[in-house]
Amino acid sequence: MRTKTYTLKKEEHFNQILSENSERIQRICRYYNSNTEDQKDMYQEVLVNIWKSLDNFRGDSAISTWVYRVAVNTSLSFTGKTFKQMKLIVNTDTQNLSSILDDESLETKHKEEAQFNQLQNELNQLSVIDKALISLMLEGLSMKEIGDVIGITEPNVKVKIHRIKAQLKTKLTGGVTYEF
Amino acid sequence: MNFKRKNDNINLDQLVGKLQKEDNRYANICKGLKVVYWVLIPIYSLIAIDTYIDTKELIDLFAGLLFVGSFLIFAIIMGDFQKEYNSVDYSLPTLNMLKKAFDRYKPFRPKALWAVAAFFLMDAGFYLSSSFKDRVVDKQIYVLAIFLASVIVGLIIWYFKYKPLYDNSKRLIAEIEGE
Repeated sequence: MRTKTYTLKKEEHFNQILSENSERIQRICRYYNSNTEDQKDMYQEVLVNIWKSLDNFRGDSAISTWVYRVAVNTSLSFTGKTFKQMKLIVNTDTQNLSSILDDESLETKHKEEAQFNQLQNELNQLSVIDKALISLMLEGLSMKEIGDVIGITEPNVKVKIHRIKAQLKTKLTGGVTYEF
Repeated sequence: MNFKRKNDNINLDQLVGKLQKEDNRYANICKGLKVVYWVLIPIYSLIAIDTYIDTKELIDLFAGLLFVGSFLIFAIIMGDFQKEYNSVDYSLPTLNMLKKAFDRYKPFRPKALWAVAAFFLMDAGFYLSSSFKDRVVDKQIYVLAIFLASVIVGLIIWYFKYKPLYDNSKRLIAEIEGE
């Protein structure tokens, strides 16, 4: 009887998280998979992991941060095909895309299709962790929230994001080496 | 189960089955083995007592207790693995999750030493038991060969199945922690 009540409560909580975060999870899945079938597979895997981890949610962080953690960790999953095939896919309508290209001249240029394609290619050259950081930035998370998801300090996130931006700028502006 | 259908592309009824399967799969294997060992413990305890009554040799009772001790250690190890499989947490910060995964995929874990200890307890039980008095040296060679073969097979499985995961987690941890 107690188990049944517990399961019902867990289902209710799961449904609530799903209704509030379904689109968020789907966006994360789209970042890593161009193929809709792969997106669906990853979406299911994220839900499986949310279900498995639900008992560990203590409310220490916002539910959205918690969901991002599960989604990013799933994308780094060691057993699934996602890890091997992982690519960061951004669309022209992706919110906060300009936050990567915060240089004014580049921001203008990124509207051009050629540069967008180049950006897409460069994003896919990033390491797995850098892709995760960029995907969270594209989601509009603050540096602190990104730090909470990845498990590093806010200054460390800033350094890493700065470095990624510098790398992208260097490559998009013709390969001039960026000095720190 | 009554999950709401929030996404038409996903069959959530099927998902529920997958969720439950994932929850129980690994834990059930360990649970099954744990039950087997807990069943063997009283059986071997009774056999040890019965043998002692027959032979009046304390060494037989001791050998039986070594077997029981070995099963007890295996039962505890399986219980621990069952708990571990049930508590994999994907909601931890990525770095913590990776560190835990790195520990899980290590070829030699401290927990494995307990299995080695259990194996040698069993071997000592064979050695002391009057039922296995003949050709003790030969039997020890066989036991050692079985032990080495088990370790080698385990390492081969680890190399092909888990080493890439171990290496990946190590690399990602280094990348996250690097400035």
